[in-house]
Amino acid sequence: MWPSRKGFYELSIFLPVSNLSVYPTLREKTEFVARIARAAAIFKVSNVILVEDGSEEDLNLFITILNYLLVPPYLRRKLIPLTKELSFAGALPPLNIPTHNPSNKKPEINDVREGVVRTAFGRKGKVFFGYKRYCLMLSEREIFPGERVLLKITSLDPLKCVEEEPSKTEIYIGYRVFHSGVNDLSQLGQQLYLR
Amino acid sequence: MILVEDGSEEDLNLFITILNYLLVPPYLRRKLIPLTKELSFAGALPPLNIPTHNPSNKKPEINDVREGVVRTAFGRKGKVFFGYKRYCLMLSEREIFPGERVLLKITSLDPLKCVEEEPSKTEIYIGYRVFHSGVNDLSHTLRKLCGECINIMTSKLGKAFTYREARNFLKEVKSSKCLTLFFGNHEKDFNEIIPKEAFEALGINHVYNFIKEQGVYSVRTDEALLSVLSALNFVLNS
Repeated sequence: MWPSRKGFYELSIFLPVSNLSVYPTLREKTEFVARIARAAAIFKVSNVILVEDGSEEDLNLFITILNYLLVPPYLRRKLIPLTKELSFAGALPPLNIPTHNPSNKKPEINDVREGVVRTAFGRKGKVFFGYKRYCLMLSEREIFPGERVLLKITSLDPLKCVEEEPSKTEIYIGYRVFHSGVNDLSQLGQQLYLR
Repeated sequence: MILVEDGSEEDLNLFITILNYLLVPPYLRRKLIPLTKELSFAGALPPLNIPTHNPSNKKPEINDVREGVVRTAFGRKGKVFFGYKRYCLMLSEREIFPGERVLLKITSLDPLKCVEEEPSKTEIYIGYRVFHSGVNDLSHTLRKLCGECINIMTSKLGKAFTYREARNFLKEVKSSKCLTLFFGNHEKDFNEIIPKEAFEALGINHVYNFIKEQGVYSVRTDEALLSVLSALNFVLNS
C-alpha cells in the first residue's frame, strides 16, 4: 500500500558514531550513512539516535547526511548550503519516502508533501512543494519565508493546503535524528518514549 | 547465484568477476588473480569472511576446512599454501597441479598434513557458486541447477509474507528442501524483465512481498536481498 502509513509501534535505533571510523574516506563514510538512512526508511524507523563514541567530526557528518537525505530532492538547492561534508551527497540514492513525492505525480487532495514557504503574511503564505504552482497555505501559527513545512493539500483549483502537524499525520514522514553522550543514553531513551 | 543476462555484456562480466573475486580468500588473491581494470576498486571491498577464509586468523586445527593453492605437486601429493606460515602436505584422490586452487581439510598438525575436501560433501558453508543464463534459457538452467525447487518471486505487488503465510511456507520448504528466489531490478519486478513465455516456463510457486508497508517508494535489489534473506532466515531457522 502506497503511501505507507506509520507503524502502530514507534521504532528507534541506537547507532554508535564509531561505525564511521572504519571508513577511511569521506565518500565511503557518506555512502555508509546513506545505507543506514535507506534501511531506516524502508522499515519506517521513527528515531535514529547516534551514540557519541566517535570523533566530533564523524558525529557532525552522520547528522548532516541523515538530515540531508530527509530533505526532498526538489528542496535541497533552496534549503541546504553546499558544504565540504556534502561533497559526495549529491550522488546518493534518494530516500523516496511518501512526502518526497517519488513517483512525481500531480498533487491530489489529502496528499501530504514537504515544502518551503516563499512568501508569507501572518498565518498565510505561498509554499513551493516541487510543483510548478505554489500552494496557498493556511497555518495555525505565524509562518515565515524560507521555513520548511509539512503540508496537506485541501483544494486543487485554487491550489490550497494547510500545515500538517508531523506528530499527527498518518503517513510515514521519515526518521528523526538525535544524538547523545554514552552516559546520557538512558535519559534520552526515556524522553523519547515518554513524549 | 544465477545472473540473468538482461544487461550489457560488460556489466555481466563485471558482476561475475567481482562475485568470484570475493570468493577467493584475501591471502590467495595476489597469487591467483591478475589485476584487471574491472577489479580497480575491488581491493577496498569488505571481505566475505566465510569460514574457509579463516577470518579470525586462527592457527590451523585438526578438521579445519580451508582454501589453498598448490605450490609444488607430484602425482596425488603436493605442498599447499593456505594462508599459514607453513605449507600443508596434501594427499588428494586425483592428480594435482601447481597453481591449482583447492579446498582442504587439516588431518595432522605436526607434521602439517591435509587431504583434499570435496566441495559438495563438506559440512561447512564454502560460499555461493556463480552462474549466468540468457533470459530464454532460464527454465532450463533452473531445472539443471536446482531441480524441483520452491520458486519465489519477490514483488511489492505480491502477497504479504505474514506469520501465517510463513508457517505454511515452512512446511513446503521442509518437504522440498530447496528454495529459489527471483529478484527484479531497481525499477522492474522479475516478470517484467523477461519475456512472458520464459517466465511462465519457470513455474513460480509464490509471489511474496517481504517488506509489507515499505516506507520508501522502491527498494533496491541489494536492500531487498538483505531484507528477504533476513526474513527467510528467521522463518527457516525458527
